[in-house]
Amino acid sequence: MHVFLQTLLDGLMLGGLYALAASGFSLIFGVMGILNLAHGAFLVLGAYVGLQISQSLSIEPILTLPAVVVVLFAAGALFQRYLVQLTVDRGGLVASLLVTFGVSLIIHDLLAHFYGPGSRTIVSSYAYSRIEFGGLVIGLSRLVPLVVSIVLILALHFMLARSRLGREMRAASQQIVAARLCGINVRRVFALTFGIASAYAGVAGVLVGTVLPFSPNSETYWTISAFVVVVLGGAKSPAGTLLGGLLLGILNTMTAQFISPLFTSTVMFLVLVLMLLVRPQGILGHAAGATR
Amino acid sequence: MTDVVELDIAHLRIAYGRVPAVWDVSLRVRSGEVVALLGSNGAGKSTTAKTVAGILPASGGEIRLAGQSILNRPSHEIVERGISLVPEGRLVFPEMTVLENLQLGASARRVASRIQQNLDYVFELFPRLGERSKQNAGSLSGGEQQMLAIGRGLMSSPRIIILDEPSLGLMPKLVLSLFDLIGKIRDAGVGVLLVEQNVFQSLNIADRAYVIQKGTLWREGAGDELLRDPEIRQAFLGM
Ligand SMILES: Nc1ncnc2c1ncn2[C@@H]1O[C@H](COP(=O)(O)OP(=O)(O)OP(=O)(O)O)[C@@H](O)[C@H]1O
Ligand SMILES: [Mg+2]
Repeated sequence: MHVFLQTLLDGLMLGGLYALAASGFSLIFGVMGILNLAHGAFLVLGAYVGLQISQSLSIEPILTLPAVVVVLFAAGALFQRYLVQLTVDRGGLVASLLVTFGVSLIIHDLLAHFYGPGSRTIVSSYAYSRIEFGGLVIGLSRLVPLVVSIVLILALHFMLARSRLGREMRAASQQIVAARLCGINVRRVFALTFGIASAYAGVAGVLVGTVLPFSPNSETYWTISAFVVVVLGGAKSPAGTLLGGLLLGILNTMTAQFISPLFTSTVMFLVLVLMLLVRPQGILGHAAGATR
Repeated sequence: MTDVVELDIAHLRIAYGRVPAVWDVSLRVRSGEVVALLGSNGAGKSTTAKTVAGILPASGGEIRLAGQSILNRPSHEIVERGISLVPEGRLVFPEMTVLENLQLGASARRVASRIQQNLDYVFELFPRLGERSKQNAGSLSGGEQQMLAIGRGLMSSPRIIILDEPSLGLMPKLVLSLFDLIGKIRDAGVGVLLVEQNVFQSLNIADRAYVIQKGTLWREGAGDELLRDPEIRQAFLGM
């Protein structure tokens, strides 16, 4: 029982990270119907930017987040405006798959060139601090990312539900022609969507880096896990993303604990296939396919 | 709102890819008048409307509003300049409330300070929308969605509003009140470009009218004048 509870707890901690890592991917898919295959690359890029800044300035990794947000926001917005939008205009959504995939390769190669292909970690001052209660152990290095993830996902939720920009994003996703007829500058909305999504990926990258090792190759894993989270939770709401992320986290730690750490990817993929067959609209019931 | 502005379309040409849909259409709409745009199915009416609104690019010709070219400008800029299109098929935001739909209609910076005033005006024109302001637009009846689409189009305080088949799917009684409403919009000083299948009623209310066929201007004149035109009666009224 104790092992089970501890595993569950570890799963929730990890799940917060999965959720945050997927929230930008989910936002882009929900608003624009684009599967951003470069999402994992932006996440890993964020991790390296955070690593670079915290090492150069010798500051706490979490203090690099504002700078990471600025850099990744700009990168994401420019990427959308000058590459993704142009390809969607000319080649449709399928072309956007190719372009985002291509950019993920480029980011991967650049990171491998500048930082080498090996694994890195970001070490925080609280890396080895832990809280214990009732025999359960919570590492601070995992609790901090969970808390930050939940706060940021809530912020995304309120941005979408209440703010003017959020309303414009929902409008563009539901009826793009009508959005344009309302006088909404849809291109601007889309660039901001990509910017915000990439900033979220960057923050997730830094947090991931304080918990797990990462390398340029990690980008594939984070793109796929974002995909799985969206399939589990649906692409329409940050709440769905949070749920999907937590589920994936629990699934992974449970598999590692009770089956074998070797099979976490296999089980993740099996669940993905199962979900697509049984409940393609996600657990919360929002049809991902209906966003377009 | 006292100054008269004019939408002036000259020799407009529009193609879908390489397939031309509109060859040569010229028409003018002034604020405070109703102008009907008629033509059989596939004549190019909606295509023309979308191009004016900046949704479709033109391949030739000129479109001016108050003397300034708006040809192939982005749609949000055209709304900002005072043109609003209520599109064919309503295109409401289905998963948003009536209120949110209307607020989105006032996205133009020009009307940022007038949102509440315009909301009051729309709810006065369509009390039904006020009663259902918290309801999702997707759950409204077809006729209510049409009212919402028109209300949303009015939220940007347009100087020229284009209504693309607003009577489609409305029951006869509602069609009558729709034409009433169009009169009210005109009396508020707005220019109305009315695309309609309801030829008789449109010509009755219109100050002037244009008829296009296969993407080319075929007839133009005062509403009552065209009503008496035997060829028009033959083509559209079957008499
Ligand atoms: N998206 C499109 N792609 C290709 N051709 C199109 C497209 N939309 C319209 N057309 C063609 O352009 C021509 C004009 O269409 P349009 O919709 O403007 O007609 P309309 O006058 O509005 O007709 P209706 O009264 O049926 O609404 C038609 O021949 C139509 O087939
Ligand atoms: Mg039409």
